[in-house]
Amino acid sequence: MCKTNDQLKSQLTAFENVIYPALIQVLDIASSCDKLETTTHEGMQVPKEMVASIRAVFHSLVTYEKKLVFPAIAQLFEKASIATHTPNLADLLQLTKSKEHKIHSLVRTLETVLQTDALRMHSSCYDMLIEKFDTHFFTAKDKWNTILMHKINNCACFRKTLIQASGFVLSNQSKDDK
Amino acid sequence: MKKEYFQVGCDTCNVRMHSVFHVLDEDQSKALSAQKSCAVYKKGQYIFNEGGIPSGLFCVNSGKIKLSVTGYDGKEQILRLAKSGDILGYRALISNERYHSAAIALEDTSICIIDKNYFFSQLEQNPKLMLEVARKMSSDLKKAEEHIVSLSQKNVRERLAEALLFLKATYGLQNDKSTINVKLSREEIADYVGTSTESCIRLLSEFNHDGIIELNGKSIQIKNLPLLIKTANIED
Repeated sequence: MCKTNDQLKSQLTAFENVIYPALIQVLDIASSCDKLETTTHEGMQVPKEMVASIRAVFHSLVTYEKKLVFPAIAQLFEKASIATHTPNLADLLQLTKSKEHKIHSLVRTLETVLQTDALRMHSSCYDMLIEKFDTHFFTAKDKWNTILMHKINNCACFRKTLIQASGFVLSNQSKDDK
Repeated sequence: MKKEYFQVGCDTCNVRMHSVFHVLDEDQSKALSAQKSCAVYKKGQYIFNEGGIPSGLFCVNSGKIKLSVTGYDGKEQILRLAKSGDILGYRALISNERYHSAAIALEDTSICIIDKNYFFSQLEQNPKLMLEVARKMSSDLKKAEEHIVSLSQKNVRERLAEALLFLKATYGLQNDKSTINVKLSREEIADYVGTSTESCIRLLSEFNHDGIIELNGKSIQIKNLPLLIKTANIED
């Protein structure tokens, strides 16, 4: 068994079944924050538009990950499929990181905007979104990217799978193959 | 910065003929002259600022002005430019709101400010002037709508370029090292991009025309990868 593969599989399942559904729900709630306010404040248009931007980038990220990135990574667990094609993990990581960076930047800006005097009283509805992204999304993504980078750079069993797919036979075992 | 004042009569002002006030007759022009003050703003000087309360209508006599707002990230976003004969600050004035943008002189600029109450009284009394102001508002609204469309289209271009990069990274390239190793329908690509099939077809044709890609049925050959990456606007 490859330890890195197990970690990736487990994290991938967490994204698909737990983290993303929860964040989609939080974004849906945040999108309706203005409807929950009893008083209207013209400045609330700004956080509303920012949540719409976060939602758009997040949905796009989820679409690409579910349709392309996760299946491509799942392929790496199947030795037979590597013989036909190996996805470019480094490029995929760069593309998804770009989206994660946009989400991070928008969440931090939203946090700053909500700290202004005019909006502080109206921010409670959006606080959950910021908190959930901080504790669930960014943390999980850091972990995911670290494991993925390890796999690209260091994972001996990944390299071994690639070599075997190319028709070569290896005799020695690495520590990651345990 | 100290302002320099000057005098110019509306009845003798050539610029008036290119402004909303061209509908005024001689007497009305002379009356307008009595209800305004004119000043020279140096390059970089603010004519009004975001959040300011309008006290009158600005009419540009000479020079160029930029109207801008500060974005979420603190960066300046230029909304539009104004030149000789244009009026400024009418949106906030008419809607009785604070200025949502700032007006800054791009070069030494001569501007007249017409008293708010006088302007409103003229709008009530003079249907021709009211119609001209409505025309000006409609024209500016049209420009703003065109700007929104161009911004949203740019965004879809970025997203299409990004989708092609995702497909390249996932499926790789064929033996020619440039054709994406997957054949997707336009509808499927549009689904990734998050746009209509029609927009996707049009933008793929644009990319083809711009030399970024070459279309051959469902095959997409990347002809200019650096330009595709640049179009995608990928953040590091």
